[in-house]
Amino acid sequence: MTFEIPDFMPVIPELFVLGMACAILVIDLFVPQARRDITYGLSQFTLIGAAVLTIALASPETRFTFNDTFIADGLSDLLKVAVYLITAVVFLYSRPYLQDRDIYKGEYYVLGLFGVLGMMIMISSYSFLTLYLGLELLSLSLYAMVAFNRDSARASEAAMKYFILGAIASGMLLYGMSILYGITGSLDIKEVSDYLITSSAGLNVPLVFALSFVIVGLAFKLGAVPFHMWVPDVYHGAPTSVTLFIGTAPKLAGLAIIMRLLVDGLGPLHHDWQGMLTILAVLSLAVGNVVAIAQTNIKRMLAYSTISHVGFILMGILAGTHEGYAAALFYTLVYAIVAAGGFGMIILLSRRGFEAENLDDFRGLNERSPWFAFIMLLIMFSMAGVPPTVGFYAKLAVLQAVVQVDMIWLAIFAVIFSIVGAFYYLRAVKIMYFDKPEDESPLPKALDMNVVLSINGLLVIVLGIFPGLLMSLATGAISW
Amino acid sequence: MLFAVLSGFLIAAIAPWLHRLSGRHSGWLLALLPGALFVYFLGFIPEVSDGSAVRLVYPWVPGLDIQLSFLVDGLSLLFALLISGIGFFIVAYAGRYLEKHRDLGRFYVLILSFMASMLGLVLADNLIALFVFWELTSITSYLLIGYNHEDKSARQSALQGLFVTVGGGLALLTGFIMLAIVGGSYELSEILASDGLQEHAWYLPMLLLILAGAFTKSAQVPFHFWLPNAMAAPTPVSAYLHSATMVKAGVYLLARLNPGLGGTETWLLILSLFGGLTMLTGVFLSARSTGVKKVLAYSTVMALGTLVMLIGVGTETAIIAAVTFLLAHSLYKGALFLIAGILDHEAGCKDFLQTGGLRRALPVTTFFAAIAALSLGGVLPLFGFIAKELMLEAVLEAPRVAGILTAFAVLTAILGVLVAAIVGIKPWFGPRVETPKTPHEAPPAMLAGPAVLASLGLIFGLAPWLAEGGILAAAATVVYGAPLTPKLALWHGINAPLMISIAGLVLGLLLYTQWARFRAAFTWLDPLARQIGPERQYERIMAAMVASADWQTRVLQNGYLRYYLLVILITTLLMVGITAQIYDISIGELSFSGVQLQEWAILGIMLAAAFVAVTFRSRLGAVASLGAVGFAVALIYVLFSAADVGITQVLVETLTVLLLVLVLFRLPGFLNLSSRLVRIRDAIVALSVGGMMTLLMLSTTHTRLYDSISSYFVQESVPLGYGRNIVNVILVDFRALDTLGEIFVLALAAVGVYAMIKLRAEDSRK
Repeated sequence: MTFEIPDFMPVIPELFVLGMACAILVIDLFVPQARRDITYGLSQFTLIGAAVLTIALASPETRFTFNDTFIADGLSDLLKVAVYLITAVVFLYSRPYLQDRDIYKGEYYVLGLFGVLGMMIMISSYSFLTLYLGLELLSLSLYAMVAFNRDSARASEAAMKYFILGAIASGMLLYGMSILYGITGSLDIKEVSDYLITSSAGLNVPLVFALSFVIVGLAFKLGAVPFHMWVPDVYHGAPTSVTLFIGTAPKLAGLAIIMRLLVDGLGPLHHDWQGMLTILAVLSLAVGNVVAIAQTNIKRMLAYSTISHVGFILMGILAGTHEGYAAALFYTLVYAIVAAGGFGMIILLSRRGFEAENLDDFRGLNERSPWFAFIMLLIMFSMAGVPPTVGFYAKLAVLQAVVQVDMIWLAIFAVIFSIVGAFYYLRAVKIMYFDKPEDESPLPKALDMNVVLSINGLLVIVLGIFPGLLMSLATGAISW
Repeated sequence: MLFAVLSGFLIAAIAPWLHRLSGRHSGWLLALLPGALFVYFLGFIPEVSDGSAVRLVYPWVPGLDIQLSFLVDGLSLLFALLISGIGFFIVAYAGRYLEKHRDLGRFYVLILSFMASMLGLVLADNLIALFVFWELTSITSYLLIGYNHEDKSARQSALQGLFVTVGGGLALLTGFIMLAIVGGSYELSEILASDGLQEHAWYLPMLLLILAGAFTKSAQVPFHFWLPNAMAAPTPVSAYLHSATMVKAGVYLLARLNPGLGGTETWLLILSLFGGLTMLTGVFLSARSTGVKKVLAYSTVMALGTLVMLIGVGTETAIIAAVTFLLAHSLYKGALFLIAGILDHEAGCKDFLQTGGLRRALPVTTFFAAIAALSLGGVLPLFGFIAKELMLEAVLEAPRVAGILTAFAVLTAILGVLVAAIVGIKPWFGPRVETPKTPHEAPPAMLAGPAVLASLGLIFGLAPWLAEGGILAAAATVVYGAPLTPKLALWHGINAPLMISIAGLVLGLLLYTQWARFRAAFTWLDPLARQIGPERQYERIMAAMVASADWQTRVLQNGYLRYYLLVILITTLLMVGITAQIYDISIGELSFSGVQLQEWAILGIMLAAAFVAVTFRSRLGAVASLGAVGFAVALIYVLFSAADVGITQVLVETLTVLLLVLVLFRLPGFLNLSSRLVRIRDAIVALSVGGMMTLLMLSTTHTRLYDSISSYFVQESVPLGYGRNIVNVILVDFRALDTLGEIFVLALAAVGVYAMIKLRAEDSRK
């Protein structure tokens, strides 16, 4: 048996993030609390550096390394850069929030960076093993981050639930993968797919089990109904800065593992998982949109809205066409941008000793700050899918893909529940523009946050007017 | 063309600045934009008057087949002229009307953006572009309604109009996507030119979705309730959006799609019946109202219903009637709304009962109000008369349900005269009623609009060929899909429509003398309408949605981890079960013949221990009996001569039991929180999940796709590993890296434990 030195070129960004995260972990030990900005700066540098490296190393051809367990292709380059940028924005929004609550610690950023590393591995995984490793690295970082504010009972409870349910879901996913390994004799996604194409045995019992378990695990990680219960509790319980993180970048990684595992690996079984995903999508759309109406807490409302967006993403995937996958990717990217803005607004309105968590805290925002009321308006319209915001094109692309494969009923179902969903997004707009403010205090915040949040909000409409670039990126990244 | 459409957005962006710069006369300054656009669009008349069209295409989102293409033909040009022409007067008017409002600058931004969106809507040839502009009009109109948000009613109705139209818009989007797929293109002109739209299997769902969008936007029964509620907006907004332009978007769409989708039985019945019903409902509610804007709003509902009905009927006369009525209505209704604003602004009247005898104080306004009202009532020689005659003629010869439609139309004609009398007579003539403000004539900026619009109604009435030759013929041709040459004339001879008109005039005026009694006669309807009216249904649906959301939150999201687990397990079970059922998959046959007595005994021990573990009241006892299960498993290993695995199992089992005991020792006593029923349910779920897992194990052991690896180890152990104990060779040789990793992990864990113990020791020293 020969031992081959793997090609390290494709993994340079991962190695960089790993090295920097470890270095920051150590450096942070010696940084006094007053100069915590050093940790913050280094973390941002890591993300920017990783982005530069990824872009520099990007090439149209697909690169494999580590015995074909690691893949770098158009999809991984696009998603990774998106993850870096979103995380950088998350870090930026989090800083004032953490400072105000005296939890401005290096661990937050280090855990965040390890989470980023986990996502990178998930995105680039081409074997069940790497996929699971990345997933667990991300999940463990997230569990710890949810419990980051240790004095908060609610956060601890949320972290506990997240951990237990997450462990079960991971277990199921692992179980499914191990059965797949038993059937196909390989952990390699390509070989699994080849086996399934060539073997004419059709579905047998182990394959049904494996498929079900894999889908349960994936559905849990994405937060699709009925595996969604952790989402509202965790979104609500976690510090808003952590909710912001969980609610944005990991969705990109989640999409990546679906693409790798279901589409690439189990693609030959498309007909079989299509039905399962349809059920998940239908339930997610229905429950997410309807239950969101009852929420008075905006974090919970956004949690349910996430669930309904997951339904849309699943719709794109289950279509099983190039257009469908591209639509799902486009939708996820758009969702991450919009959600970052939405949670950013909650952070903006919060201050020391006050969490702007309730919808009522947005009352009369238009009178307190017309500019940020407008930004929030754009974000809400985008989530509702109203043009000319970019959220409209996301919904349009998915609906087109679904109609193209003759699933009109699903498109109409999705539209009906989008209308229900529009109700609560528009209600938030109404509250900002038509109600009297209960709290007249102005919004004092850091300049960098205001600027970036404004850009984030404006991006929603700029991309809405010129969606061509993002669309062609998404279409180009999908090679199926 | 692109610039013409987008100029509204561009000027809107700098409008607040222009407003500050020009002060009092900002209204006139900004009105120059719609004015210029009007002149620009006038220039297209020679090109399109012979029925041809101008098409301009700009690339936009190639990935989604979206391009910004504009189509100028008779229909879109008619709308564009109305939008820019009326827009001119509205902006000038608003400059005065809202002069003292602190946010006038923002108002200009919104109204100009709205105008641009509306122009985009009627000129767009691409379905998606059309939809984008469609929703933009909803959003800008929403912000315009909210402009006066000090008003309590404005706040209440703020969500309603937006929700109804945005909801309808999303339905429309699905309809559009289907239309595009059936038609093979996103370009309207290409879709309408393609064959087989009406025979396609998707025709009905597609049509219903599109109608949902058009009906909500154009306030057709049963969605008509949002329009009067939206009247909380400032008057220029009501005049512009809610009579002349936005609410006609739905009508525009139906007219545009008529050549492709129209003409079927479904189309005819749905459109003409809903339209007719809306027409009658609108005029009836209008005649019963007393609020100035409410009367006008409901009469707009009537007009929208009439238009939809006529498009539905779809005969040559009906289409000519539709475009004529469209123009006539925009002219007189725009004028009347602006006059309503004058009443409010100059006399402080918001209700017709507060008014009377204002003709001396406001002579000019009275004059134009009278002309516009005559047109509304359909009286000779105004343009409204021609439109009404045509409408009656079309209804009388409708291909289907002519009887019902005629009945609707006759009633509408009578009540329409009553409404015209309320608007045209009540405020101005009769005894002087004390008004909240001392009335005086409005400034020229506010009079210009009503004067020009009302006069046009008179001019077109006297010289109908002006409107017809220029634009109406071309518009009618586009809607009908084949060349039409309308011959508009005031006098058609003595015929049925004329008789109905005269009868309507007489009866309507008679009713006007009994207006108070008319209103009183129908008060019994109010509680009924509150109970079963569409607005009530809307509220009910909303309440039901909230209630079901609350219910789901309570049931699904109660915060208890155990329920979450339950749901996850049951769903997994169902997914596996249903899939196995669908694919008719069964596991292989089981046989127990080879099982020895001692194995049965061990199985018995395991079962008993497991049973004890779940029923035991003490934690430690439960853990101990769980340990017994583990030891029994170890025994099985030993029985199958895998002693080393058995030893490992024993060690691991002991360690876990010890660890569990250490942790559980610190926990408080065992509380019995669950009831018997809950326990039974849990038991069932547990058994099913366990059963599923067992079946899984059994089935996987049945499937063996590869040779076992053990033969390789047996063969190669000596030659490659130089060892006779295969297990040892595997651990230190074949899987040396694994073992190294395991040692590493153990060492790390040990370091961690040591660090924690040390930390704790230091803590306690402090």
